Amino acid sequence: MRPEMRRRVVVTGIGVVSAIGVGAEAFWRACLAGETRVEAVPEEWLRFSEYRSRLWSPLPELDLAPYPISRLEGLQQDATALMALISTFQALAAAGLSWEVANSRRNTLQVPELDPERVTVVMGTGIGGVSSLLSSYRHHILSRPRGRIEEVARQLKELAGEGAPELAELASCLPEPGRMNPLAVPMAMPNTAAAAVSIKFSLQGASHTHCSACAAGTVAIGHAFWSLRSGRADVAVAGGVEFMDDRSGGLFRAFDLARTLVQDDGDPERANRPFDKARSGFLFSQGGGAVLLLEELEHARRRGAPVLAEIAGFAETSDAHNVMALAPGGRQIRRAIEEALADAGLQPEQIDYVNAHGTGTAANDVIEAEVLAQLFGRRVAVNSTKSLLGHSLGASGALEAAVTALSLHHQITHPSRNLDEPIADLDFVRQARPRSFGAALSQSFAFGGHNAALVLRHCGKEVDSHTS
Amino acid sequence: MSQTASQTVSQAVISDDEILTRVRKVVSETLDIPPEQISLESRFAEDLGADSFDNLSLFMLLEEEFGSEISEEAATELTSVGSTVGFIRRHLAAGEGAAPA
Repeated sequence: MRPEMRRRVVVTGIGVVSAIGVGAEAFWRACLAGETRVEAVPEEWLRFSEYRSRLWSPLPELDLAPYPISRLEGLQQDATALMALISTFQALAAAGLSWEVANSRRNTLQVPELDPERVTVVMGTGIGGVSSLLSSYRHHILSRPRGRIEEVARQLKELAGEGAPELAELASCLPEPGRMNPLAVPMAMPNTAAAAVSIKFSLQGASHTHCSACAAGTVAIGHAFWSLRSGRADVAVAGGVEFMDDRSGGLFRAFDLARTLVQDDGDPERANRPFDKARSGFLFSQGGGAVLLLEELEHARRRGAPVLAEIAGFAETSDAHNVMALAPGGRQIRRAIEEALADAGLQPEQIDYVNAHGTGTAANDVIEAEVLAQLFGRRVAVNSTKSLLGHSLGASGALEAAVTALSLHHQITHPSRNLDEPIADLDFVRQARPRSFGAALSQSFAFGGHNAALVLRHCGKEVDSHTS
Repeated sequence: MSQTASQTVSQAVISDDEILTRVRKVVSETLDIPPEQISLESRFAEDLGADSFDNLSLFMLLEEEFGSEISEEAATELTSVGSTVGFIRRHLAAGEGAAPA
């Protein structure tokens, strides 16, 4: 099929759950203002270990009240699934789509304007429902021993034996066991978010999950795009979700031990510095989620949907080098970008903006900046959304695709935060100001050696006026 | 974590009527059936159409409502509103529940 005969795919709605804003509008305002949310890790975590890094970016409490999500669903869905549901509600509403009750007992909905068999759900995640698994596992291994220790402490106290207070104190230090959730299995599945969206909205096209660590969100959107372009579906709910809080710091510690996390240099809000010479690692995010509603262009036109941007190309490659470290030289990163450009039918000169992976680790930023310098030089604007949000693993690519689409739509993008002494001679965005963005790139690299690049284009009058 | 935990009251002040009212509320919420159609005699499966997933959901909300865990063994015997009210009364009398979850 000649490229011009291909089906085109556009973004018609965006939903976001992030540390700096819930909902695309609040999120976008916070991005343009260069906001961040950095806090000391919870005191509770210090009971269990010491950490090199002491900073993280927590999410706001999930507020289910604005959405038709029941109390029971709140108990039976993993946090990643809840964030996917919230983001999907937002994206559908932004795309001008409404829902109605399909089954009131099951709390399921349907979207009358969509053919449910032509809607695919494609989600990305790094660790899926691991926090739910850990929560039930904590109950499994701790509830009886904790009860027994408390009992022994009581008996000791009655006998006026020594050590009773210490024993009671020990029991109280064990983390709250919670409950063994009877839905622990479906909640822990990596595909729990995709399944939740498909079931909640009665969407019956293919529903699948990409587990490619920090690239998962980008990979999910890329595959959803290919699926729509090839004609397998007309609409996609595509995005990424992550929740990395086990309430004890265990997941944080795993990243901390790997020496990937940001070090506090006295000012927490300035510690996270992607592409700066003084960077020290990435800011650990509690998680987040973003959903892009993708539609085949004619489908979007027929129903008069708002068009934010076009997804024009995608590609992915593998380093085949190391499970945690990027391959020196970034050859496969470069190839992913070049192939995504070819997929979009664009030349490097046509790219105006790059939403970088930009984690703030020593190796990532050097290799990524080198590839960007080789391919684009100083003529593209570059920023790191992780300079605001920290790293939310499988959600990050989707959040960054959302930023890229919004940047193209509004012709402006957010500053890259805490960038005082850049490591490379690139046009890093220092302040939000109007730009002329025709096409943009959003890229992600992951543990496992996964590289993924997504090309988006500005949709101007040619799309709105139906002349293309 | 929840409002219901703070709403739970000590065993001394929960009457049978109140237990029934709260069980009916939870059953109504889980099965999408108006409370007035739920009586002490209602059987979950036969009268109210609950399947095994509904039962799981029911016990989760009951645990949330009364702030205590319902064991697997106990759950198999809770097949009606009446048996559930009786179980909760005995459970609370034994001092095993009603503490904030």
